[in-house]
Amino acid sequence: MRRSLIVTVAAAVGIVLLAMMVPMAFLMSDYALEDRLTKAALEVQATETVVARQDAGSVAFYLDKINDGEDGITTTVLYPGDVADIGPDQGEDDRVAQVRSTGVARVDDVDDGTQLLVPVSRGGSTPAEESTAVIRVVVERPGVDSELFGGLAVLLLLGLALVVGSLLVADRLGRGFVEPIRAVAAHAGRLGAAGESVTDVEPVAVTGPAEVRELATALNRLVARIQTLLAREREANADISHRLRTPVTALRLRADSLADADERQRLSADLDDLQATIDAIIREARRSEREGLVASTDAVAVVRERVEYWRLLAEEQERDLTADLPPTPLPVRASAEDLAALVDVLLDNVFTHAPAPAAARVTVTARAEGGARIRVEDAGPGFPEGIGSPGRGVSGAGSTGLGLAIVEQTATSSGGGLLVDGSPLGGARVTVDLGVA
Amino acid sequence: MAQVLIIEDDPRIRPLVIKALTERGHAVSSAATGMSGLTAAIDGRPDLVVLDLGLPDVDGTQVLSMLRAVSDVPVIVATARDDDPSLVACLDGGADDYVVKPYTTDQLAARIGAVLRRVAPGGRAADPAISIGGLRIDVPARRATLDDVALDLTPKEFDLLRYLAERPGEVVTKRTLLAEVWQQPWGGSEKTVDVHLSWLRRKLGETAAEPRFLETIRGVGVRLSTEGS
Repeated sequence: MRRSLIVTVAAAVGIVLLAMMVPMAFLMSDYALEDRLTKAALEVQATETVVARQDAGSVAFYLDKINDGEDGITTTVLYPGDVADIGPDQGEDDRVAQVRSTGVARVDDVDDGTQLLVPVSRGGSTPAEESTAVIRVVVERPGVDSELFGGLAVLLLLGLALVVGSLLVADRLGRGFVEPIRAVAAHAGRLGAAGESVTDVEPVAVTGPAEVRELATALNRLVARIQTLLAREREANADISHRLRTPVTALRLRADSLADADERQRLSADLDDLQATIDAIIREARRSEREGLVASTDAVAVVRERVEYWRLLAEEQERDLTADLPPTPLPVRASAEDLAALVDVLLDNVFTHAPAPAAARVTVTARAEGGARIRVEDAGPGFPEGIGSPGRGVSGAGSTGLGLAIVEQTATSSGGGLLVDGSPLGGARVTVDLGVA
Repeated sequence: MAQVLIIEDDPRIRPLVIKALTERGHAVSSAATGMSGLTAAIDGRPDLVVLDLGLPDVDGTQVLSMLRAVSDVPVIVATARDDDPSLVACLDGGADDYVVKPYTTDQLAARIGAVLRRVAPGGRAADPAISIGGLRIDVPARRATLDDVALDLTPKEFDLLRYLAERPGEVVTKRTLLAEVWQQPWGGSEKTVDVHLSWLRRKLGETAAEPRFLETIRGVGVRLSTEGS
């Protein structure tokens, strides 16, 4: 924004200066020419007097004197007949001949200037062509080597100073706009930063232009509201946990006190199912607590860390566990805790249902629509017939089968999904799509 | 036999806990509110307090803080929250152990037994750490060392080691570990226990083939060997 403001101001000032300075330069040039023409007219009058009354030597002396300067005006006297012309621009042409014959002065535009031709009669009161000298005064158009150049240079310097001054003012103004906006943006960024709890965030300072102050105030109000809602949700979740788990505790203790072992076992099994359901409900209710304001986790980093954790067990079982991970991070919409639990469930399923040394492979790829695809597959016996609904899960030795339901909840919450099928390795394959953060 | 005070507001749970612990040989008293429990804990001088956090008058964590200000009596917190931060906050707040609802009679009795073994009669132990050979586990500080070198353990690895160390020489099944350490008596996978045991072995500088402390009893479970020293 600061750069845009500077560029805009530079462009605007540049256009204004151009619009003013170009006509001004032409105007200055015209004024300079007009000044020379006035001076030339005076010189013509003086020269006329000298030519009419003085001899050739005096005229030559006079012309040397007035042509000596570097004022861009040269005066030449063109005598008729065989009398030698005096001055730097000697030589007749049609215009000179016309002036001499008609006795009427003329002014013409010539290359790089203006030419004045004035007849002077040297034959007394009766003008005659053969006794008429012509004064030729050539006035050069002011060029870059004249005083005009100095004036234009001063004008240009003033223009440049104006541009630089405007840019400095624009930069200062821009900083005044940009720094408070940056502070607000950095604050908003911190709200979503992984690992920082929104409840611990201090309000952003309300400074800068009115619009930025309004934005900062609105953001602070929003964060305060979120903090209140999260606190309420945390309290509500604690209350739900307490309300649901306390009666189940009573039931468990009552079941423990039953004398009939079979009845006790049956009731405990029912309570196990009930407790598993309650755990799933509470876990789902706490998802936003785990995710915070912005759920964003690097899927590659989490998968790498969890695969390394399980690798040790794989090595002990002489099981080949490979991970094919992209080199760049892939942020997904899930908390690190939920994502780690998801990977653990998938790897746990492999280790539980694919007997060692069946190989296992974990692949993470970027999805075209954003997010990541995590694929866990093995060379085990595959899923039993009829397994297709993750909601029912995969139940088997050492597992309650709730794992895939947890995986599916995390996947769908992030805007993705879950697919269970066979792997080219020969066993089961679970594909989890996770939405972009 | 130990004198146990139960601070629990739920009228269904309180008598069942009293009955179960009485049957296990403890002398049990109870209180239904935080303030009456605090009074009973100060006046009655029990050997151990089981404190429910969801009390009607004062929050259980505040009762714990107030109790800790005046007494060293061991406290086991009964909580419905099973997330790690909440449990660690309980321990940091002065609890000696915790049990997550819904707990069974056996679980509660086992926690009471483990805590009582760590404390001297009438108060907290002068040294709350468990020492087995070169292995030393400081439970309140949640720190473990092996031959005076600190072990870098995850919270679950520490809990696992601590649970086994509180029962040296006793074979513990993986299902029991899931119930006691993972608080999942009804779920979880034994492979989760296996992978944590693998890391624990590595951090203890041993292998399954050549164990020093962690000894796997095939088909039964695992035990922490006292011969590791």
